[in-house]
Amino acid sequence: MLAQHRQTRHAERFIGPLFALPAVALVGTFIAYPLGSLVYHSFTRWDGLRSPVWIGLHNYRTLFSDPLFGTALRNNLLFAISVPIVVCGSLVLAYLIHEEVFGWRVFRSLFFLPAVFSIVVVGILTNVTLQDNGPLNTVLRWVGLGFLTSNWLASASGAIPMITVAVIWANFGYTVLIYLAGMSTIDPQLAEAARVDGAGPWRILFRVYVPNMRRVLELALVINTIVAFASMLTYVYTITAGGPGFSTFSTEYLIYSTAFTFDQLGYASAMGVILTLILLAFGILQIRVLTRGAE
Amino acid sequence: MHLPMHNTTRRRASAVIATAIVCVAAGLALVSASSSSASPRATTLNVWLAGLLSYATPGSHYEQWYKEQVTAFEAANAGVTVNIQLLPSDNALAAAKLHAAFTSGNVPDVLMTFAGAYTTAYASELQPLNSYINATPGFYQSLSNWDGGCVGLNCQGGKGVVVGVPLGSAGNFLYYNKALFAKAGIKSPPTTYKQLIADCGLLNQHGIIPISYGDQEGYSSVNWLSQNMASYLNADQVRQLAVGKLKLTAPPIVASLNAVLSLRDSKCMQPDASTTKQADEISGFQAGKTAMLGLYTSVLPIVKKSLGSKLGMVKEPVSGPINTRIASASASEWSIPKGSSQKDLAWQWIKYVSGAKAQATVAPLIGDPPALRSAAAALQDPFLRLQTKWTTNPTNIGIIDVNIPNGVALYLYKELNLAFSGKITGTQALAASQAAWKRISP
Repeated sequence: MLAQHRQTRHAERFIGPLFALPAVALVGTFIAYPLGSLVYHSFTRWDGLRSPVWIGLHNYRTLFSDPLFGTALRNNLLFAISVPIVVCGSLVLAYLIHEEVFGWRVFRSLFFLPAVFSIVVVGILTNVTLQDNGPLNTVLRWVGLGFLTSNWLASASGAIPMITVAVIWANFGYTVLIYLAGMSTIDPQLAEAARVDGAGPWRILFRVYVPNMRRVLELALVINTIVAFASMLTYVYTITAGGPGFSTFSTEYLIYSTAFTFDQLGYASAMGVILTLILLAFGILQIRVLTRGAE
Repeated sequence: MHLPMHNTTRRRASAVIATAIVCVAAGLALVSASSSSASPRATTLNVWLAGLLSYATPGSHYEQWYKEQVTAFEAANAGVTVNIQLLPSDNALAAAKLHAAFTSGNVPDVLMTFAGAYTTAYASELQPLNSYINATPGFYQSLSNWDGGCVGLNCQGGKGVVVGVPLGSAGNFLYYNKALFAKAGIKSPPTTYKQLIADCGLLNQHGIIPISYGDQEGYSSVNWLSQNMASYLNADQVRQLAVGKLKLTAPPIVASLNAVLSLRDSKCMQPDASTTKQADEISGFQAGKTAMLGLYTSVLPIVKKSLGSKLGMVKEPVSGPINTRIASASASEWSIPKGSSQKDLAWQWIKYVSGAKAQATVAPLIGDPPALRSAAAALQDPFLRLQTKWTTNPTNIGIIDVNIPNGVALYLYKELNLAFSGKITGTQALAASQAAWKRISP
């Protein structure tokens, strides 16, 4: 019996790893290998057609003095202004919808509608709207505000805020949905108790819902930060194509252009490594701050 | 003890399963029988169109041209199906697609790209065509504008490494609206920048936008720059540019660009020119809202259809001392990727589209003077004859963005757009592009 017990324990030692194997294979194939390849190629000069040539830290040295990379990173930081607006604004809207204020069904549909459109559609619509003779300037002239018209896309100072507005418009509804899902998991008696104690609606939001939705807030914050740093390519390409010149390039649009337009996959890999580290740092910081609050 | 009902249910289930298995087996048998008795699989020739014919969208003249060739080629080659795929007309997107194709080995049998560096950038992945050309007597001599399809952009009379076969000739011309010119009191089209700027003033006074310009991608600026460079540089100097012996910051090139930017300062272009796509710049001219358009030979059929008898066309005006040549190139190049498994059939396609029947319709449908010399000589349309006369001038220079490395050209477009937007000077744009050259194409 003891021998049988030993045999069973011996077999059990392999069952765990066996069950973990599919997940390990998936992570290895789709995360570990590409990441490892990215890091390796960041130390090479490679055009994708010929074999990569090891050049050590040359790409990183070039990167830190490359004004284009600096411009792209700066633009991503500007796009990140959308994050607090989306995170906080959609929380308030979600609360209003959750409390079923007058017209809540209409608000819910209206604000979720942009999330249904593909980003390409959002970008093209934005580009057309902001043309010199486009709908925005036309309406401004009609209502006597012609002095506000501008060739919005002709400079970074006009185009970047407009791209940010498009990002906010496209991501607002999706974040509202996330919050609504989070609010629906909170015991309604908590809010009711607070109401009975005389708490107003905003006090209930910030004292009842927000503390109980830290994980949801964390999710919304991380997702929208990733959008601002690593999902801007489609917006930038369809709205300004990175122009005028390179002035509205985002980091991943620069990575794409460097890799596939200028055939510098090694250099683009170095940019990718830096962007990954930046996003990792942001993510860890955000999660730590929110988790500490929960503790 | 068993329950009769339980047994009946089991029997029914078994019957259903057995029936299903029989049906599936019968179906599979039918499918395999029909496929085995079908005719032998047809051969498919995959043709990717970048370059000029990437604009062959449904209903366009370009589409009409290639469909005619596909129909004729399939009729002449039983069992062959020609599969056409359009690549993006955006040069950067097309370059990305081609790069991915060559890297992955998923290449077509025939590829069309813009001439010069757009073709030779992939020379290591393209089949040298010299053996095919030499095995086809008279083929090389029958066509013009070969240099854009050769390594080093110099075919050396056929002795160089040929990787591309030209479709037609191309250059930029100034199309103008005679009616709008008459309205502004302009008696003849401009030949110099001084005259052009004066005409811009007259047109503006009459509320007419002088020049349609779409520079969001930087294409309009590079086209006007190329044509103006022809008044300062000769062909050898432009070849030196290609190999880095002449810098982009050379005084003649800076002077050419600054002259183009002076047109903007003289309000020759529409206010949103820097954010208008090149594909959209033609619409203002077609609609009769702008007086002039500086664009390729290939837009001739389109503007002729829109303006009819109001259309005029001349060589683009220049600011430099030489007014006897233009910047020209082959319109586009046909090439065969090394990874093609049907190189012989691919060559048959290239021979067909370079032959008399196909080339006869290049000019009326695509708008470019045909590469086939006999077809070019037979042209009757005065606009086409004028284009042919200028694009086949032996003293012409190459178009700048097909003479410099592909990646550098794509970078240059961006810098030129920045200069045209007024964010940087022309000198800064050229200096930045020259600085990037070393990194992009060491």
